[in-house]
Amino acid sequence: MRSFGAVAWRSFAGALREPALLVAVLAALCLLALAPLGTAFGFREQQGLVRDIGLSTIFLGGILAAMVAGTQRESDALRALVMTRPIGPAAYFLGGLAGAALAGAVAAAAIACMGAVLLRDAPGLAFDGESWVYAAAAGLLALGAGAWRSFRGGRSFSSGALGALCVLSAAAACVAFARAPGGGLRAALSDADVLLLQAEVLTLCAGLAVLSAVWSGSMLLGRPCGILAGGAVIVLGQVKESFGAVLDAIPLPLGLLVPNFQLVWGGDFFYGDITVLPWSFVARGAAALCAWAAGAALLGLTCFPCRSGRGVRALESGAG
Amino acid sequence: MRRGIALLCAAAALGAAALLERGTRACRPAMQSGMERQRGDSLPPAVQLASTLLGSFRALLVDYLWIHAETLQNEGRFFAAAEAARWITMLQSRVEGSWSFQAWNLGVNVPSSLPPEERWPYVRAAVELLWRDGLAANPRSLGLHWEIAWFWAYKIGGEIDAAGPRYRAEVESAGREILGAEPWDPAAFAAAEALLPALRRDPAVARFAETLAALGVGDVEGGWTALWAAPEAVLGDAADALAAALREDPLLEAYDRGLRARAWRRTFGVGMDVVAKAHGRFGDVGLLRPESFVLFWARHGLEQLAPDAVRLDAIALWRMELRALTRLFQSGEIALLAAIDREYAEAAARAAGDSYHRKQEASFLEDRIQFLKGAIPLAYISGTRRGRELAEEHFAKLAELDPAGTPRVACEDYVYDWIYRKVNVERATRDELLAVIRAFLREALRAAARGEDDGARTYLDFARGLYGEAAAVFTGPEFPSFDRVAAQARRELAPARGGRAKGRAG
Repeated sequence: MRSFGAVAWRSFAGALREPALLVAVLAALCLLALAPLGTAFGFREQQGLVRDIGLSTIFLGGILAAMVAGTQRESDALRALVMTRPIGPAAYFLGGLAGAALAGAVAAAAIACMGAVLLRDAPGLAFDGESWVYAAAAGLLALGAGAWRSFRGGRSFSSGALGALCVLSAAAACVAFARAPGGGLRAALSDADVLLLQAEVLTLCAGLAVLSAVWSGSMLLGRPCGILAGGAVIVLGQVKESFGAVLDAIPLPLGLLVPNFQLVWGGDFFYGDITVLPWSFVARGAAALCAWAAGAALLGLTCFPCRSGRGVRALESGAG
Repeated sequence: MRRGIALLCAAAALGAAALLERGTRACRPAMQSGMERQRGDSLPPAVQLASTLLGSFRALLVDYLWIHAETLQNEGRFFAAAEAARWITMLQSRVEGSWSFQAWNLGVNVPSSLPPEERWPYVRAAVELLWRDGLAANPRSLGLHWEIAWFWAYKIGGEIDAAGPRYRAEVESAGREILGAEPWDPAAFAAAEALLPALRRDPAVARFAETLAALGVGDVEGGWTALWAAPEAVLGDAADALAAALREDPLLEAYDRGLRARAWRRTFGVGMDVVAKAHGRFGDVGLLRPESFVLFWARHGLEQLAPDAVRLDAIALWRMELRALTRLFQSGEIALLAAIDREYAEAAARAAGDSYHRKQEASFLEDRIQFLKGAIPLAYISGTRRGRELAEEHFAKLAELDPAGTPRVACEDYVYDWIYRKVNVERATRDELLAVIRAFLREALRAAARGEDDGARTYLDFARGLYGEAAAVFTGPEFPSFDRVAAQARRELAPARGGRAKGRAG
């Protein structure tokens, strides 16, 4: 268990230090800020359209973060750990995944919280000045914190900025949700805000499933294969509703190997008269995606010791 | 050993994921009210993928495409604009406005640049685009239902397009081929369609299908209506015997009806169950008239509305429905008077019960009064006993609704006053004038039957004079000759089938 924790921590720290992760998050935030531009021709569905586009940007940012975190290079600290302590393949594989998932969660949480700030229920969704102020303040303060930490302590700018961004965007989301549209404080979240948060939860769970596939592919066959595995899961997951019947018709349980993102895709719910999703639906959908992610990771672990992937060093070091 | 445990755990986790997915599907909020969500109800896979993975770039792309499409449209390049609009609908499929834009381009702009004989495929494609693709992505959209109803009411059934009669003829021809020989009972069609899966399993039906396949019919069910429109061409000498079997065997007859109902749904987008509901609600509103389709689509749309809910788009659909009913009434479906009045009353009551749309109540009441003022004389002079009864009944209701604006006279006097004003002061429509001419002709016939020659001559002179004035205003080949009008008036006086008298003289 100590090995697992040590690997997870080093994997988490290594992933957070990846500049690509910060770049992915900042790119997602910039794209998120562009989402309201699509409302010019949204007609009566303006709010639904902005939220749909915003949610797909959060999904895009989430899978970018998953790709980066899932295909991170083995850090020096992790390599040193592996060389100095006997670590089993399970601890190496699952600990690394836990660390990557945690780093991915920090990045995705920053994007999702910022998305919640920008897409919250407000009178002028596209040009809600207050939301933009909160988002800009959180972003700039986070970058400043990262720079200050790097300048004063000589530590990684990326990890500092990402950590600060996660905390500050969460704080900004809390403030934005607490503020009533006309000023003052709100007693409870509006239905539209609850729906947005429900859709975000389901989207982040889909991101976890992608991360799991990326990690397994990356550990077994190298980073390009990890990216390919993630891409395949995204594509198949988004279209499974359309070809699921074909999979069911095959006598092999192939349907199990593909998660169903389309079934829980929150963008569909922003149009029409659905106010709030049933919590049973959200819970089951999230649980299904998490179970699939666990299944993919365990399947990867099953194949891990017998393949010459990145985990070979763990075996070479005498673990097992 | 450990690997085996990991494999077992992986299998358990994936199995749990599959079970949970099933549970998730079961409790997913319905996108279509009253219908269980089915696989494939979502967007097409490529569209879903593109929509999701483009992220915010989708917003920029859609903006560019909108501006591009508008520019092309303003330049009169309608085909190119329609292509750009197709991309917009792919990227913005949940936005009603994008479907309306594309349908307008395809069904209104493009046909306007073509000769009348080449327009119908585009108009049909526009209507199909709205129900096949637009409603698939937005099944509960009342706005899209209104758009479809608009095409039926104005483009196909209205006078805004010179090719309107062609469109109506195409619909009539396609509809007759699908429905087969009259009489057509929508409820029977709907019931047979629901029974299709069970009918297919019946040995007699299976044998019949095998016989057809053996005679060289490739796609038995897919080409059913075309096959029976001209069976000799494919079935040769066996055609008569097979057609007789279809008529005589109740199971085969139901199979035939079911397949025709399915073909109807696939061609016109609206099922026979909806048609049957519309007939049940309003009475006989026909099947192949543009106004009938307006009613079907309006009903289909309003079914998506929660009970007692009132929205602006629902009000627009009610108005579309009332307009179609009124047009049917004006074209001779006098029995609809009661249904239309009831619909007005219901719409006003629903609006009154909604705090946000309460103002609409007065508007509906005003429209109801105006409708009754015009409809009562038409029903009265329709020549049927039922028409006269309806007129008298609703004249009393009109006096209740608008005591200040309704003269305190008998219904007959009100009607003759209306005729006098229509003929002398106001410009009557073609149908109104023809109805008045027929009324005078019927009176002339009745007077002649009673031996009152002078009275008959007076009525006949009135009719001739009025016809002369009408013919001068409504020139053209479609305006019926005096003899045809007289023949119709005579038919209206003739005893109805089954021995029941039709009209006052019956």
